[in-house]
Amino acid sequence: MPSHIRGIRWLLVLALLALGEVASRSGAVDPAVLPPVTAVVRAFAADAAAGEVLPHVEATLRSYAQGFGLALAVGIGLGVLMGALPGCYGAGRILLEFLRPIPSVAVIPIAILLLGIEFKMRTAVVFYAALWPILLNTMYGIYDVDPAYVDTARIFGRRRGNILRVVVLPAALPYVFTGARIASAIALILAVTAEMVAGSSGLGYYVKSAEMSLRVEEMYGGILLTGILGYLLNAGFVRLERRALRWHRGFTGQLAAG
Amino acid sequence: MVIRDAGGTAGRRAGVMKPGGLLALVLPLLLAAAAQAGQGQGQGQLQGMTSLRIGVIPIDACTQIFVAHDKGFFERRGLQVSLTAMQGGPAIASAISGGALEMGWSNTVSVIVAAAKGFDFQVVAPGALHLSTNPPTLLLARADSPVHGPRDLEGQPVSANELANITELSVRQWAKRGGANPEAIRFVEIPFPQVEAALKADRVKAAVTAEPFLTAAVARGTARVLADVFSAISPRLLIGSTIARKGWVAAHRDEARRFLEAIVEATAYINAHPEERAAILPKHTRLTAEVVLKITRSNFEPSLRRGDIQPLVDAALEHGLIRSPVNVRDLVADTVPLE
Repeated sequence: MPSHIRGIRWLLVLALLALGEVASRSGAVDPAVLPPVTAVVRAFAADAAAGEVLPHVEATLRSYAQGFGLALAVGIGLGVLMGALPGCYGAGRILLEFLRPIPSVAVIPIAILLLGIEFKMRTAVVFYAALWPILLNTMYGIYDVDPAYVDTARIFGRRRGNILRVVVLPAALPYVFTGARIASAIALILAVTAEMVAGSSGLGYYVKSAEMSLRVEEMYGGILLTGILGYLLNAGFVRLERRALRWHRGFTGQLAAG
Repeated sequence: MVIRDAGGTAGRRAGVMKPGGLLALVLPLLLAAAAQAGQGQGQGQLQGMTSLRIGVIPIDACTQIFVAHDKGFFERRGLQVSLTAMQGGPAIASAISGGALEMGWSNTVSVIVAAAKGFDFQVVAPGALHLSTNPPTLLLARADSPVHGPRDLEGQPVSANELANITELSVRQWAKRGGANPEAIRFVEIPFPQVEAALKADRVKAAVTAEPFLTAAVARGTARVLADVFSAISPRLLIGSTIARKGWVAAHRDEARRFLEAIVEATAYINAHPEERAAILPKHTRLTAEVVLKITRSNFEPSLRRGDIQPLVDAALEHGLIRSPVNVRDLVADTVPLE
């Protein structure tokens, strides 16, 4: 990306923060509703220095990592099966299309009943939410592999397992990454939401309890930090994806050039 | 030609790249496993102690539990209590139903409604009271609002923090007693923290709110007190208390009794040392000591009266929240004496 666009991106962020600051300081927006950004940062930094923030970040990341990790394992596994074997797809289709549209937030009360209020419940909810994008993208990724690749490999005498491992899976990897990136954002959202509903720790709990205690600055601080966390996780993913799919980008680049 | 070349490239390169891709997949799993390994420790039980998991809401209505916990009133009675702070009553009730908690904080109307639906939650100790002499929940209107009585609210939006609960019920009762038609009021749900902004923007003509938002909204000049609506139901009411499942109480009568004793001792302590809440509440809630001392404190009494609950049952029945009457004695565990 050209550097001037990169510069503009950050300028936009700064402009938005500055707008918030000015709107609040000038009284255009009630400071009790939207405190100035600098006040938010100051109060939040003080809270963080007092050790009130880090344990909550850890708690959120923990349910995120557990739920998302589980969703990756199960989603990719089932996705490969359903994408590669028409029988599996046929068998699982109705269940998949029934479970998938249920809003993940709606499963929280059930999860509380069955799994309690601690990490087990939150992990399960994150897992449920993150599973579908991974599963579907993997499935369609496998399904969409150009039959010419498979035929070619077969002509070279490769066996089925080998074709799956060497040809089909790598060709589906861009889909898997797309699914995982979407799922990663959803996983963070659900981790925080579950903490807001039933948590006793985590950023969602932090935001909610700040709100209940007239600590508006800390509340906004928690919200900002959640956004930053989401940004960093996504940035990490983009980096990983770029690395793992270098061959893919090179290939499509060649096509475009040719 | 192009395709075969491309396919070959993909296959060959994939062989090289796979460790990286695999690492990307396995890393979160490892993290998860590591996190899991750290779990499950620290739950060690002390010798001869019964462990009790209690769900609390980090608000000053739960002060009795905080005090009993901090002052060792539970421990002295062989109860090893772990408090789980949660943000919502419904989540606490679900967790008690599911067995993740033995006890938890609940408002009284939810217990009444649950009982009418066949759930067996019971009050296991005296809790936070509404007293007309010191009401911690009030109906507010905008400071410059022309609204002065219930009749001015007919056809207007009025907010309760939760519909079909004590706040809505109290406004209905107040309207009815004041000669207005409660059915004509348009109730909307707005959580207490957002009430001040809603009044300011004129999205609602009146709003029920509780501490600490009550004092803040009035002190800032946004709102004025319109009425003590809870008193329209009764001058003294049990707003909320600790509940458990009836089945649990029946199987743990001794623990339930010891819990009650600890709460009664805590109540006496709170009433004898009212200034100490400024030290205790900031430890369990995110309220600052300064805010704690400014707000109307919750009321606690060491004993529970039938009359603390009966008017709520009557009002719930009168306004259609429940269909058939509920016996107050069934709502309170038999370990708790009722006056």
